[in-house]
Amino acid sequence: MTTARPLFPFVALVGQDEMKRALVLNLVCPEIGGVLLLGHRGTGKSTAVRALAALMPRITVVGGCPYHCAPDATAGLCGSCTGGEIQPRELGVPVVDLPLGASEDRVVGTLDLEAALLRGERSFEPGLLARANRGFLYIDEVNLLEDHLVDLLLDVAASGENVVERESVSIRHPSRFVLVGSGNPEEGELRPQLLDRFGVCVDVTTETDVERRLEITRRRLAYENDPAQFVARFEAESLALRDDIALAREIDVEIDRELCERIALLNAQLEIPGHRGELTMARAAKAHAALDKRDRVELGDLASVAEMSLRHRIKRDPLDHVDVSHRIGELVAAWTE
Amino acid sequence: MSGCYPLVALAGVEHARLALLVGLVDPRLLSVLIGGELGSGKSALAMGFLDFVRRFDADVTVRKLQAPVDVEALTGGVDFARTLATRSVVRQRGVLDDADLVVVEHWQLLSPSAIQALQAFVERGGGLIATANEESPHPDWIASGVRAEMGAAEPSWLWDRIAWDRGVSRGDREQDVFGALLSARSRIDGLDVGEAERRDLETVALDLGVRGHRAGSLLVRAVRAHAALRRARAVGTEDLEFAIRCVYVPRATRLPAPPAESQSSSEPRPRPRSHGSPEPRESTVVSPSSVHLDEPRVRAAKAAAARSRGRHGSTHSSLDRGRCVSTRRAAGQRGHVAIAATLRRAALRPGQRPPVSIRPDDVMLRVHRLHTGSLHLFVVDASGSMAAGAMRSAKGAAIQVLRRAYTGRDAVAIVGFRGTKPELLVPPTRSVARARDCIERLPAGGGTPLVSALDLAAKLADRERRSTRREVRVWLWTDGRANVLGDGTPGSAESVAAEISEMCRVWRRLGIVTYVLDTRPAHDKRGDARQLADALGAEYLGITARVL
Repeated sequence: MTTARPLFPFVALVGQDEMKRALVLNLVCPEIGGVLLLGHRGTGKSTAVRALAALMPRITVVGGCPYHCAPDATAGLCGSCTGGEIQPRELGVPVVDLPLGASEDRVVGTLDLEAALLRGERSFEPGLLARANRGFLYIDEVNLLEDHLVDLLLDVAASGENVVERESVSIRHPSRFVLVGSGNPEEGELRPQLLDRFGVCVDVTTETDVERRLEITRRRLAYENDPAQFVARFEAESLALRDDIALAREIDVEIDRELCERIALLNAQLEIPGHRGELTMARAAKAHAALDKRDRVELGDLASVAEMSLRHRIKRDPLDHVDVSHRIGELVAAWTE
Repeated sequence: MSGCYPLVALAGVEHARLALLVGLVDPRLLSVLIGGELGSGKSALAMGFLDFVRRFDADVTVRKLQAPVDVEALTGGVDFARTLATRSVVRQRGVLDDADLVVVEHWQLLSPSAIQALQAFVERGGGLIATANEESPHPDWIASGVRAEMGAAEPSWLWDRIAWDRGVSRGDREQDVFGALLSARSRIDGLDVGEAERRDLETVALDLGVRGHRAGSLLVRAVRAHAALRRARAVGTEDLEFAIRCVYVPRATRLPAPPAESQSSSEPRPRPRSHGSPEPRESTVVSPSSVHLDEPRVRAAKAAAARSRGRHGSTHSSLDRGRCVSTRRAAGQRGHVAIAATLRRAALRPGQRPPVSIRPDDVMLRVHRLHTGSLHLFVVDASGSMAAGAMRSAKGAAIQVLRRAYTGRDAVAIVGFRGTKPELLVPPTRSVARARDCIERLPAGGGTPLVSALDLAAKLADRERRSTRREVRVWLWTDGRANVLGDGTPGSAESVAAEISEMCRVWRRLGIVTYVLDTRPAHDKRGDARQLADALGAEYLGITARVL
């Protein structure tokens, strides 16, 4: 039908600073473990995620490899890349959409129908998990996805490997991706196990400032009118952010023992179960410092990432109205006094 | 999907018709959800519009769909029959691959995945006309939501008003409309919404609690298209009003705050009523935050928890949803083909020689196992002196169940009965946030329409079992006494009793797992609730709900 138009640039999004920060931190350090965006529809969640690819340098992959293996990798190469000549090829970072209606087959991959019928071969047709390798896997309305698919995705996201044992196919292939989920909690609750597996979590709200709202509508209409021109308008700013991210990825950031203790203390004060919260917060703080071109984490870095790293891990009464972010904010504010 | 918003406001067929026409002026506005009661003419309107579009622009490919729709039908998939016949993979195109404009009837029956596919279609620039019942999930990426209302008018009146409908409209009038549309398209670029108006519109959006930002640009487009269609030289108030009605009002989550007094209490969001029927909500309103679970209530809740934990919902087989557990012969049925099993079966058929040929009866389908939770349906007597206690007790139990539902898959619904009729206070939901908001304000006081409450509960339970195949458990808080007949009128003790015993007979036949919780205080049990429990075939739990 309609031809593909250039995507809305990431830097052109008005407001939603915490969402943007969370996504960019994951670009700097994928080990943070993905982003969960919670909030009403139409607040720019999908737009932001789809725009991510443009912020990353292109990756080099083995030509013809369905899993985007890196030619210079020494481990984690899939079956098709071990042995034989390797033709390197450049590729934009994949951002793969996982639709709600996707079957397990499409996600995991399955027996290649054509090969089976035509040549009587038992070969594997890779699924979305293969395509997302070294990129992003985006699930819009993750809270409406069927439970067994969610479990499966979380397993793969944690192990970085997709193990397929079905339809008489037995294969394993690398599948490392940043999981980005979005959803509206009013439409269905997310299980706590699922919440905890996302590195950072952001509440995305509707902008209430009239001037900003005006600017949002203005930009949207300008983009719809002439996407190419609109993208060009933000080209310089996009490139600057892209360079910042590329630079930040190269910086080796250190974190002091004293700051680590603060993180641990904060987690203890909030009675957060497990240690994922501490790890994530430390990683996010490092990435935050790197974006600021520093090689040492400062207190301000911790403060900036505390809420997104911890808000979804606090045990809370589901019927409680209290916004847990406030508690984090108060504890963090007390640091500087 | 998202909370149910009434489809809106002040519309009528004329308004819905206009919304569709405006969609032809600016194609980005051609996604319209038409709501309305059964027989309000919304389907006629949509179908009439389709024919009109075909005559207006012969190049537009139009498709009609009726929910529930298979996602594969929308987005395409593998045509297995032809794939087998030709021995090469034949992909089947989906409806959305070829269509420019689709009409979907019974929007409310679509699955989330089908809605997502349609959303992507609209975002690619496709046109969508959907019809739905009064209360239907309003997807906020749709341009406008309008209501078709037949009112007291005769169908002939309706046909006359729908300019493009069969027979009536051919000829000059339709040509006029075509002309108006074409000239509006050419004029739209010269129209713009001023800075001051835009600022006002954003303020209106905030007042109405419109969520998200998609509505903003749609609204500006709607204003311009409407102005262009009425041949205005500049955008005027009526254009703004039209756009607000179509784009903002269906998305409203609250009524604009009245000018004075209620500023402090404006936090809870009353949903806008499309009919404006004033509902006197007298009597007590209990907030659950003030509820302390006392011991008996905790016991009741624990009983609920223990019972449902035992089974932890139910599982059942499905051909399309859930985890794949095994395979079986297709025997003409549709579903996901198990390729390996099919090939194996074909290969093992006696007389088979390479290359393996596959016959239709070799085809094997995958069997999926779908795990569903239980629905806990709380039916609460909100009348008379026991009301406050019963309500608190029910809320306490609902909270307990939801706490567990938070980690499991159980859902909760609450029916309250008082005055003349029962009311579905919390529709079946797994969303804690949503249930919480509904539980916030449960009214109490008035007569005791037990019969119609049981009737509503039975229908709800039955529908839920059929549509979601969830196991349903009903928890009935009552003292076993009633004084209102099924039709809402007060009745004598005998006539009410007769109705109740008839209702109980029906109830037993449905075989719904039921618990009766006695709301009389322990020292004053009268046995009515126990009798009712026996008649319903329910388990009697002599739980006391303490009165304030």
